[in-house]
Amino acid sequence: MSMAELTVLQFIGIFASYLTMTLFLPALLFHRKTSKYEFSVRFMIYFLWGNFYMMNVVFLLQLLHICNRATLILVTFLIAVLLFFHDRGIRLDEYLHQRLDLIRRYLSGVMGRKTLGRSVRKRIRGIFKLFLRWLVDNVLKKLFPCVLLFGTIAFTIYIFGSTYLINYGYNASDLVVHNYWINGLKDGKLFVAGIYPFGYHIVLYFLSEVFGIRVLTLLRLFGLVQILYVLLMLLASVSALSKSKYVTFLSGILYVGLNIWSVDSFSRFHSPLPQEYGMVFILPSVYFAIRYFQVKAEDLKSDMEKDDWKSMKLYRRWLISSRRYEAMEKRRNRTLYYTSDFRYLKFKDKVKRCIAILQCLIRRQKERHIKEMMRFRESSWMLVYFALAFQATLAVHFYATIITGIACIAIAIGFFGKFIRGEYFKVLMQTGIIAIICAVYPFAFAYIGGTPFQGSMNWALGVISGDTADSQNSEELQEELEKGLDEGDAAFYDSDGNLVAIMKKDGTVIGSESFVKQFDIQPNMDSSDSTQAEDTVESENVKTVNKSLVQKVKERLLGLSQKLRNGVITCKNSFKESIDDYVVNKDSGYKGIAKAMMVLLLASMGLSILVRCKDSDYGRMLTSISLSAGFLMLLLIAEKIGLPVLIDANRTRYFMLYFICMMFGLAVDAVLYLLLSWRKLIRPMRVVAFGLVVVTLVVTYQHKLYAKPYHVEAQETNGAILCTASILETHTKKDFTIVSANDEMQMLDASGYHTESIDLLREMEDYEEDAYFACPTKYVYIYIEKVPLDYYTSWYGSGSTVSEEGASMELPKGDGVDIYTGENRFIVMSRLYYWAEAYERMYPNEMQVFYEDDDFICYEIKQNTSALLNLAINYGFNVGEK
Amino acid sequence: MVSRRNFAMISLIMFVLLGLFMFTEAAKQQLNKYDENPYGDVATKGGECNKVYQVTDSTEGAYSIYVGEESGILDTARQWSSLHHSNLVSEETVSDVSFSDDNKPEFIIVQGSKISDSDVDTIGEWIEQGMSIIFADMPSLKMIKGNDTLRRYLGISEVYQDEVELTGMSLREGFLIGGAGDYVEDTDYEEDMQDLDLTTPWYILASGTKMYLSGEIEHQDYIDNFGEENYLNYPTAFLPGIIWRNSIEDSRIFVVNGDYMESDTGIGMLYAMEYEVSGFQIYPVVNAQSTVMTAYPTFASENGEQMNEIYSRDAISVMRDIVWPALVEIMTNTNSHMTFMLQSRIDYSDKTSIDVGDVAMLMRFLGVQETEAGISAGGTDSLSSLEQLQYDKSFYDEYLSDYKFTTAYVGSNSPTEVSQALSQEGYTDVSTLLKDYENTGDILSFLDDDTLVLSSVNTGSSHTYSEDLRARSIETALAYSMISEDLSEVIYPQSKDQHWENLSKKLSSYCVTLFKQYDAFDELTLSETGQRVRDYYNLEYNVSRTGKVIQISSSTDDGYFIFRTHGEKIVDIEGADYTKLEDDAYLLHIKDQLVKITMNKESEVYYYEGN
Repeated sequence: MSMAELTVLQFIGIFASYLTMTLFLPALLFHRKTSKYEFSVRFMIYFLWGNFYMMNVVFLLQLLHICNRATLILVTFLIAVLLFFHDRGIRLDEYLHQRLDLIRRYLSGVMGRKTLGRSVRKRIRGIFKLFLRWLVDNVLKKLFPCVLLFGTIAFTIYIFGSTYLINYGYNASDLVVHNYWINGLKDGKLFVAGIYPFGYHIVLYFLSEVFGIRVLTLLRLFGLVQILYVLLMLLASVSALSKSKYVTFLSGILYVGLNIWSVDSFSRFHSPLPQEYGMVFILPSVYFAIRYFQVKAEDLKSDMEKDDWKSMKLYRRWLISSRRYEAMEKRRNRTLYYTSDFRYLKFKDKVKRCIAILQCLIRRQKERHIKEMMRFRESSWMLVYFALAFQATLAVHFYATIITGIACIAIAIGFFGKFIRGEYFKVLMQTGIIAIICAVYPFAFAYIGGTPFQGSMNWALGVISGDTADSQNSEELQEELEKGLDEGDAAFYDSDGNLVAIMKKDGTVIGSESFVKQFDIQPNMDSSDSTQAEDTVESENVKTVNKSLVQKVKERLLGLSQKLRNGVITCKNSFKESIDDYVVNKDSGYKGIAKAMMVLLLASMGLSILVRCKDSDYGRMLTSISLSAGFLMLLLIAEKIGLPVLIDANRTRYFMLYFICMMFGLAVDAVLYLLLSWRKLIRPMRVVAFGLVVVTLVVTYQHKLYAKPYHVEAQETNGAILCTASILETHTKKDFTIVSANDEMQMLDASGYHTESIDLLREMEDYEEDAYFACPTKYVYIYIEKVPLDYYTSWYGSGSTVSEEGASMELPKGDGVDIYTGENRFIVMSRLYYWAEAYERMYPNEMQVFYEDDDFICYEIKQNTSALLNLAINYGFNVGEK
Repeated sequence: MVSRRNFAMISLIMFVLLGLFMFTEAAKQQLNKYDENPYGDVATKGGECNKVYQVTDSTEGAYSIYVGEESGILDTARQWSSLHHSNLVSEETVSDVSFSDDNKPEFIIVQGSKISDSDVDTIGEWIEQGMSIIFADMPSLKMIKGNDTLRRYLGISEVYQDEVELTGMSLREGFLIGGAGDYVEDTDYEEDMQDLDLTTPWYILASGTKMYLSGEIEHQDYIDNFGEENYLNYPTAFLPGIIWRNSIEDSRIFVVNGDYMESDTGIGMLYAMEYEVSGFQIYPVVNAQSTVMTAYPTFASENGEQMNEIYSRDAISVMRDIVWPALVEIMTNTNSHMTFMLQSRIDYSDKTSIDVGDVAMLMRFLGVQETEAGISAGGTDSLSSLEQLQYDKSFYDEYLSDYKFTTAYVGSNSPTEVSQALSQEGYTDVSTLLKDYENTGDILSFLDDDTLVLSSVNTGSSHTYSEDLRARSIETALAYSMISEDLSEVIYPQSKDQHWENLSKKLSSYCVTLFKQYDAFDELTLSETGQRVRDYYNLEYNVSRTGKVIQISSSTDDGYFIFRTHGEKIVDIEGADYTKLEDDAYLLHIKDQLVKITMNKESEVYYYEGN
């Protein structure tokens, strides 16, 4: 079988298994409860439940140390079956009894073969009819959306998946680390390298364990599933929020269909990485947060209508009275009782007693009313789904949580009027806390158990505590300032008058280099001319240091309008620069993308205000999305404008692009709503939206604006992956060792052993007779790159073939992956190549070529395990001077 | 009450059953031609002597060079060359050896104990020329210790100790056919089997070597000398070397630390060494395994007193009721047909009469199991072969006049003398003689055109480690084994070990268990084995390889070959059948004069690149 065929089959398997857990199984269980929602909302709900279940069941079983294939399958499918029957009100024992009774009747001869056959066929026909009905209702009646959806999916698979058929290896260097962590889960070690958000690892572990897919295969191909879901979430959320539905495909086309965006804006999607997996949960959390406000308003509205609009007033009065009640409690005046001595009370006391009774009755009525208001209703479900999505972001990657947090802030601003009201705020806070607890409880248990935080977590905690690089920078600047600046130094201030950077006279920059670059200032080396120094004012923001001038500049910059203008200019320039650097495809030749984005943002904000007049919640929604996009644009340029850098620009662009495409779709929807909703018919909007999509597709095709398939250079040779896959397929016993650089170390999934090439080479360096190195397995595979890869680092000799010159160079020292990058990799592979030649000459029958192509060769050594071959030999380059 | 009809039915059924069983037994009795030898016409005689390859010192064709004095090593090398169809040039000293680059010898077999320091340079030249060298025994310890270059050639990293007492030895699989072998003495049983020389210098091997037979030491000694980490990670890295191979560029140097090459054990080792230096190896084999019981059965009820004391019955009853069932069990477990060398009696001074019924009964037993009977002609303490034959002739003429004897057991007597005695007494059909094993004799040889002499390789009641090594070696070289056991000691036991209950245990374990790994080879009677040997000598063949296809052209369309590969498997075969013996080893049975074998690598990538 070719690797391409295998890749396709493996991808189908992975996709099917992931769909099973995130669509089919949840649909089976929750369809009845969610049938009132449209498909896009149901899709998100099923997805959230599926992921929530996978993550938490593994967490719990791992914490209990009983996590393995059997328990996972049992817990997953057994519970699903039980829930399925419970949901339908069918008792499982009765159901089984009926089925067994059927078999019993057949076996005992009461029921004949024909009757049984008729019964089975009838059942099959029934299921088939149900399927047909579903097909007609959900596909044929919605043919156009289905065609567009499948077309979008197919196109995405085409442009993102083509590279997998050409390059078989991992596309990111840290996948090896993630492989190691997932292998740790297989060994029953949760947080094997320290506490870290493990949601993504757990999902992959779950799929591997339950469906028997190798981790190697998942890490190769799950990235394609991931980008599909990122896109599907975009489509689902825009579809759910919009009124014309088809505009969602405009968002999708803008996001993946056009060749506007740079290749690097999608480079991380070629590997299954936690950040990108966390991205999948952002838009569902945004949607359900917005939807909560919308639905809650409807719930409260219906309640108010029921109570004749008194409820809110009563609620507020209850709040007041409950405060009084608490005060009364303090004064020990809480009891309400009817005593027989009522008649004997003074009139004044009687009146007081009656008032107290009345107050109590009112209070109880209010409490009943509040209880009625606080019962679980539609909006509550929205909060539940929001909590599921939010906790998933926290469990998968903190960046996703940060972005979700920014979006939540935008939503809070958009729905500010409601947000600050008690009935919203309190519940939202409670939900947020519960969501955080659901996400961090495994961390807590692990921490209590003595597991330390992983390195990245310490950095994250540092960010949270404010110990950022920026704050370190500002401390450094302050120190420099306190030391005193010398003649010829230049200080740079932002529009707020804050010191952002200092450029010394020799050109050294302390602080924000990017801020300095925009001014294109040359260091003033000659400081002897003091008059020149005093009079030189190159711009309003940059002053060559003269102690008296610094004070004056700072005072001038404090002017508000100047500040604002400068800020806008800075933002505009920075944004344009960042968009050009990070987002736009330079080869496409598009210009003005940054401007277009800013215009879109402003237009979107404006539209949201206009739309509010017709539908306030819809307008607020658009405001929230626009603000989210705006915040992310600010985040992109945070470093340049002196804001705290929560996420560096390189990663921010992924999220920003995502939200901009969402905003675009909703903005178009808002325009259509404003123009065409006056007939109060949904159809004209949809027709026009569909027309827009078609026109977009046609124009894109005619002008060749569509994106081309991405091709990513894999960080492993195809030969290595081919050999590893073949070895894993043919060796069922743990009887082999692979000697290679590093990537295969974790790929073997406990099926074999791995030794690093550098260990072998070092053992026989400065060869002596007593040198000994052996691999205690029957088969030993040696991986050698004849053309060493540029392993995430190119060097001056990139693409060189192994040579004697390379073999003559000194072996790299040190540890870690540096040994296998750049020139070091070239040296290691050259040495290994000539070692293999010499060894094959010594053992021609024991060592043979297992696989060879132009770039890669794999040798197989077959040995007797009770007479291991010594791999340490004198191969000519490991003795004496080189 | 049973009705008449039912009674009649029941009776009828009983009569039918009785008839069936009795008919079967009667048929067996009637059809059992115990007085005819079913293997009498197997052997075809005539003109075989000149088929045996005559080893010369010619360097035309394949040849090897022996360097050293007349010794057992030279005999072994000569035997191997004969079987291998190659020549052997013998030189006394290293400096006498010469060969051209165009016509290099296959091996240079050096008697290591006879080389001197001045020979090391010449040996170095051979190594530079990429020769395969065999040090059939070790140079002196002093020379090894004093000469770094020699140590490097031999692949010795250091002489760790001048002398070490081993606890046993360990044979690695893949060298000789039959798998790995552990020659240790962990149990009392194994202590009896240990007869290998366990005292040897401790040579630690350098890189570039491959161990075939290593010495074993106590685990604690290993830890004490090399550390626990080495013991856990590399428990065999520093064991004393007994037989190994060193590689220096294209040259291969085999080293034998012991006297294994001085006997027939060395023949199989030479074949194995040839396999190690070749990409693949195909050579013809006999493919015959025989078990011969001598002095069984005897037909006189001798030594009645001792028999009654030990077994509570007479000798005939012992043979019938005690010995024979055990032998049948062995034959069943090994799926073999034994050969029994008849003898009228053991003690010819005993005048106990012979009952014809006993003869018929015992011979019938042989017939039922499709075994073969031969003549014991090895003589006794008091009788020579001729006298014994003369004495037995009357017995055979009277009771087994129609039985065609084609095999005879000569014991340790001269086959020539016995053959003459047989001719003299009219046993002209005898074409295969079996002799006891001799350390320096030929395993297979022709006495004359009509008479083949086969040597026993092992005894049934004794199986020491050196015998096991010898058996493996002969199996590797010829796919041949010959187990013989003298059962006269059952009737006249000298010690308790010779009581049947003890003897049968050993027989059973040695015949059944220790040769289990050779089940793929055919189990034959002595006559059949003789015919196989004749076919083996008649076979001329040629082997060639083009890419993945190996072609064997043979002079006959019936023969057996052993085919050994390195990491290859048979994908397709035309003109022959094959049986897998073990990893990388097959037994081919050719059925055509031209055989084509298509090979492929055992390990190959499961997936291929491409769309």
